Amino acid sequence: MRIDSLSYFQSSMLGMRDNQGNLSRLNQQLASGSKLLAPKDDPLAMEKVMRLTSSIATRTQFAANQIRANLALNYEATVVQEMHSALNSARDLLSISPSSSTSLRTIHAERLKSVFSHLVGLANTKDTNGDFIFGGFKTTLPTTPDTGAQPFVRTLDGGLADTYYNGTAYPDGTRSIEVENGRTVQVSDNLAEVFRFTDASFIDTANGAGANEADHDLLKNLDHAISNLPVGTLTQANLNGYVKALDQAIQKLSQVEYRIAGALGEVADVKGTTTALLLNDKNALGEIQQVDQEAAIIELQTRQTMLEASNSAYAKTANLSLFNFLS
Amino acid sequence: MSISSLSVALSGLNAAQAGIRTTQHNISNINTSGYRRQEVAYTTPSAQFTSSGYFGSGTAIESVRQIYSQFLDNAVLQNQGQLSYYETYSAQASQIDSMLGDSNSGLSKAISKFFSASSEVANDPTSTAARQNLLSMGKNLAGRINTLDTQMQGMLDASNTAVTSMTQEINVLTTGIASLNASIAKLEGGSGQTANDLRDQRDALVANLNKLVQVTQVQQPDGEISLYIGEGQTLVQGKYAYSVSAVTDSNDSSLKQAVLNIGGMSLPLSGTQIKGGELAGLLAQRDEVLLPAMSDVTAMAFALSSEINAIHRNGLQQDAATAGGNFFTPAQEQVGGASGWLSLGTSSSGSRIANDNYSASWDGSAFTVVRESDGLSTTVSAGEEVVMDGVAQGFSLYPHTTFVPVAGSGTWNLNFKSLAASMSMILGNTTEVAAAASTANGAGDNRNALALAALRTSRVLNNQQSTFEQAYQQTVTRTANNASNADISVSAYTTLVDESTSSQQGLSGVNLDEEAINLVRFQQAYQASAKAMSVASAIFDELLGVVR
Repeated sequence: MRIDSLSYFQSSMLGMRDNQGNLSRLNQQLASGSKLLAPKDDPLAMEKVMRLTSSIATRTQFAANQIRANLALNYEATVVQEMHSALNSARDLLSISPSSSTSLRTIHAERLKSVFSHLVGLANTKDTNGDFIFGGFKTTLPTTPDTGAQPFVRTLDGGLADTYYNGTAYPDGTRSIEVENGRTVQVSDNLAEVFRFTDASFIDTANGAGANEADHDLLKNLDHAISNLPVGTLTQANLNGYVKALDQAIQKLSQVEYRIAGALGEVADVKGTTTALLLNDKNALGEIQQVDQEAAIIELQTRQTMLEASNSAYAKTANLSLFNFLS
Repeated sequence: MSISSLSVALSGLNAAQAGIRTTQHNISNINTSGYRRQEVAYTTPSAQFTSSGYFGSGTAIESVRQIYSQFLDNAVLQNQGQLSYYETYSAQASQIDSMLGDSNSGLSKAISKFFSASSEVANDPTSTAARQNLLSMGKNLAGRINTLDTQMQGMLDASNTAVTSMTQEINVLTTGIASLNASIAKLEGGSGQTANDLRDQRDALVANLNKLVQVTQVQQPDGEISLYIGEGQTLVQGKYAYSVSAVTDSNDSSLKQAVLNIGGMSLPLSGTQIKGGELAGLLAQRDEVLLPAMSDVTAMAFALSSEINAIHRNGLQQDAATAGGNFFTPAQEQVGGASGWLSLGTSSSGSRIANDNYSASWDGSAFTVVRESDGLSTTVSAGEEVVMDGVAQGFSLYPHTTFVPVAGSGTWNLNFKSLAASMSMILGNTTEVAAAASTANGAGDNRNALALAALRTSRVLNNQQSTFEQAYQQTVTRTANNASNADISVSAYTTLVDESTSSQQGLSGVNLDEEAINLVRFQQAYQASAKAMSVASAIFDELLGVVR
């Protein structure tokens, strides 16, 4: 075979060019830890990588949302539980005979006072951001004398005015968080109905004696009881009315507790799924994207040997010329 | 007899000298591109008749000829044209590929982060930090789109400049080839000898021209060559070269088009006419990779702005009283009491979105679309591509599924023009983020932020088939496929060029060892002829001595 001198020199160059290109590529892969240096290296794999990366980002956000939902629900659950036991204490304190001694009635009235303020405090609970959690969408309220800057406004005065509610009207104002694609979980409740329900079936019109026992306003009832219990003007029917109002409030609150428990369960379920899928996605992404270090290093060494061979072949043959032997 | 024996020896001396000279010429041109090795063709002149028989009269030089094969030369040209095509294509497409696919310059992360930030606002609508984060991510998203568009616009400008400079370069080369044709025809005319070195020069020019635009060459009997491009359009015919020039594309004023000027007519050189060479690679890449990517980014900017603005305007700001405004530079504007919004559909023809503004109205069954620049109007049904004056505009329209447009309620301005380059976030203050639904009565309402976050998984692009992220992935994958195919072709044609060049050079290239042997051979032939001459001279002297 006839070969021209330029090709003869270049044949080693072609080998060196290819080996150097491969070495540089392997170096980049090892340095970046990624097999895919640009989408064009493997469009099919890159399409999967992008899909997985996007899915991981979405799921990571859902995982963050789930943590957030869990926090909000747990916080609310704790407050509602406190509220429940306060309502039970109030019920115990009101389960006395109207004919019991003045001192006992006074003691109960005093203890009711602390339960009352505890309840008002709980109803006006703020979260870690300083937002009211039971005011519906009205998470902050302007400080004006009229509204008292809180969702539930009631001071102890024995008066018959209704409890003032500044929050979003029932049943609106509950907030939801998206925990999975298209799936939202309610993470707050409107407690207006617990303290001042408008549900007609709960209003006992038959027991019309006294001022407030049949009223659907729990705080007004408690306020009235605290004022009148030491005085001794309350009848058994009055006391029954208070207890009934408390029972109804407890029943309403229990519904909220069941809902919270259900929501917490749902979040836990979804969280399990999200975590598993996130792990799947990350594993799949790793398999596609991450460079196989061992294989890459072995290939690097092979390529290096080949480049050295090309170099040495060039060095050995470059000086071969017949002119060297002609004197 | 002796005199003639001197002349026989002299012919040998001359022949050896010619051989040495040609060998020297070969050695000198070892590095000359396009050089084909030459050799002297010897012949024996007619013999002298005597009664004793025919006596040879030495040697004669018939010609100096080039060693080549037209077949091998053409194979190199063909492969080189394709290699140049794919190299240009690959270099350009790779730039776009890595720009779109890179996690820092691409859009994937920016889109994903924007919707995650919306989610965080939904999680905590009263948090200033979450709102600030959404504003930052919105700004980042708009900025990424601007950067991508600017980069690609820069590449488009560069490709327009390249079309102009390549056409100029083609003209320089074709003129050179035509004038060499003239010289060769003049020198060779009737002599029967070939002007080897001029032919080499011409072939070198053809090789350079072929890298720019693939040509087919046809040898003419008088030594001239004709060059054709594409489907047989003449570029060079003998002494005449037809000029090519870069003109503004009649369908798209932002593009330069190469045309061949023949007899007062301009023939556009598109991908169907020219199939090899850098110019073709550049144009193919522009049409298949760059322009579709730019169109996709415009569609993305339009859809992001339209969809996000529609939801954002539907909500209330942090004061739970003021309506949310536009989040981004509006891609759509309601005019004359228009109610509801339109959705962007794809182009069925694969055309790119024209860089123009339109206005559209909806009568409940069809859109009437008017182009801003020239007032042309057309009526299309939902999902039917808008075509103006026979030219597809690269988009179709649908009534929005959530914010259903009210028939006959007004018009919508569709601002495609420079949208991707100029898109920016309009909101300046965290309180302006409309996280609350329109019925909200407090800052704690997160329903609109939830709706915004849900856009992440809504299929709003590609005729309601793809989410934003999926649509972007399709753009990246398409670009990657084009770049990858070009890369594969580059390596294939590199091998083919190497192989065909090696075969061609194997025949026509200079081998120094061979020339060394030739040098020795001719030197010895020279020495032998010189000896023959001295013998002839001695015989003559002897003869003179006898007479004396």
